[in-house]
Amino acid sequence: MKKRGKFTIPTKYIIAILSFICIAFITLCVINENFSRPIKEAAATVIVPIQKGMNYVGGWFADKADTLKEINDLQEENERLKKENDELKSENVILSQQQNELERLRELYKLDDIYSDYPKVAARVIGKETSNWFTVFTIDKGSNDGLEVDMNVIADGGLVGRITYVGKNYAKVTSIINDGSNVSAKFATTSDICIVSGDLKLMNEGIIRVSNININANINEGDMLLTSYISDKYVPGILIGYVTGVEDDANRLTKSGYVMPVVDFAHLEEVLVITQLKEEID
Amino acid sequence: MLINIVFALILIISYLIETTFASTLQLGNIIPNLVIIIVCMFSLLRGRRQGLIFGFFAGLLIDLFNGYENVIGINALLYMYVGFINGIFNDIIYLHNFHIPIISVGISDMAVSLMTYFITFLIRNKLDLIYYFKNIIIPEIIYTVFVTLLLYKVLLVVYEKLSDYESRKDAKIDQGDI
Repeated sequence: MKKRGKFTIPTKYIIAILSFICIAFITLCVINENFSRPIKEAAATVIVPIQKGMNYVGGWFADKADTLKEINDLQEENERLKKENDELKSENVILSQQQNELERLRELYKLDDIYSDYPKVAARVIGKETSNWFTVFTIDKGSNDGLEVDMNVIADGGLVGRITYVGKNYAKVTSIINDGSNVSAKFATTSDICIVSGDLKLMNEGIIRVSNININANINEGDMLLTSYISDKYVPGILIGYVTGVEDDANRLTKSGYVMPVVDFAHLEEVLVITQLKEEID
Repeated sequence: MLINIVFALILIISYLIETTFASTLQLGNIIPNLVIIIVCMFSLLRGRRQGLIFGFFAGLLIDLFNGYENVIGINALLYMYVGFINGIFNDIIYLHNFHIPIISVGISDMAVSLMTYFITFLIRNKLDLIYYFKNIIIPEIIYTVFVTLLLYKVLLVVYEKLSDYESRKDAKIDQGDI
C-alpha cells in the first residue's frame, strides 16, 4: 500500500531529530528558567478556558445529583441547625463580651492580632497534576487578577500552599503536602519554631512531618501549629494543623512528629489567595 | 489523516478529563494515566513511525501544563520512546486479543513511572524505591490497566470504522483517477 516515489524521512532520523529537540529544550529550560514561559503561556490561553468550562459543567452535574439526593437530608438538617442556632446565640453574647475584654487587653499589651486581616482573592481549583507524584493544583486566576509567585493560598481556614508559577489566566499552587515543600512553623501555645515538610510517603495517611522541635519544648498532642514569623515565603499566623505523635529524635537534641492538616487536600474546590507577599508586610 | 486527527482529539479530551476531574477519578489518592493508554493503543495500531510522533506530542501536552520544575521536554522524550517501542510490535501482534493492550500499557506505564521516579525523586535523595513501587507505581498500573480493559475495545472500534471509511474514500479517488 506504500506510495512509491514520494520522499519520506526515515523513522530513525525522525527519532534522532525529535530526541535532539527534546534534549535541547530540557537543557535550555534548566539553564534559563524563563525559557519555557512564553510557550507555556501560549498553550495555557487555549487549555485553561476549556478546563474552566469542563469544571463548570462537572460542577453543574454534581449539583443536580446532590439536590435530588439531599432534600430529605436538608429538612432534617434544618431542624437540627435551628436548635443549634439558639444555643449559638446565647454563646455569642458571652463571646462578644469576652471579645471586648480581649481587645482591651491586647491594647494594653500592644499585641498584634494573631489572625491579621490579610487581603484575599477567591479562586477555583480547575486542575491537578496528572502524575501521582506531586500535589500541585491549577487555579483559575493569574497575573491578570494581580496574583504573583509566592503568594500564600488558604482554604477551610488552613494553609494550602503557595503559588509557584503564574500565567496570565491561571496559577500553579504547590501544596504543603507536596514532597519537597518546607514550611517554617511555630506552636501557638509555646511559640517553639519547627519545620513542617511534605512527604509523599505520609500523604496517603493525610499527615505531614514536623521536625526540628526543640527537645525542651513543652508540646502536647493536639497543639495548634501556625506559620511562623521567620518564614520568608509564608505570612505569619495561618493555621497549618494539629500535632500528633511527637517523639524524641535519636540525637536527643530535637523532637519530631506529625501534623494533621486542617485542609482536605483531596477535595479542594475553592481556595483563597492572600494577595500580600511576606516581604511587603515587614 | 482523519485517524490521526480523531486520536489527537481523544488524547486531548482524556488529558483534560484526567486533570479536571482528578478528584472524581481518584481511588485512594491514585489517578490512572489515561494519556499512556491512548499513546500505546495508537502506536500498536499505526506502527513505530506514527507512534513516535504521536507520543512526542502527547508528552509535549503534559510538559506544557504540568512539566516538572517548568522544564519542557522530559515527558515528550519519554512518551516518544513509549510510542516508538510499542510501534515496533505493530506488525507482529493480533490486537483483538485483550492480553496485548494490557501487557503493553502495563509495561509502558511502569517504565514511565520509574523514569519519573528517577528524574524527580531519586535525585532528591529519596531512595526508598520499594515503598514508592508498592504504593504509587503498582496501584497506578493496576488502575490504568483496568481502565484499558474498558477503553481498548472502544478505541479499536473507532479505529476500524475510520480506517474502513478512509480506505473506501481512497478507493473512490483511485477509480476516479483511472
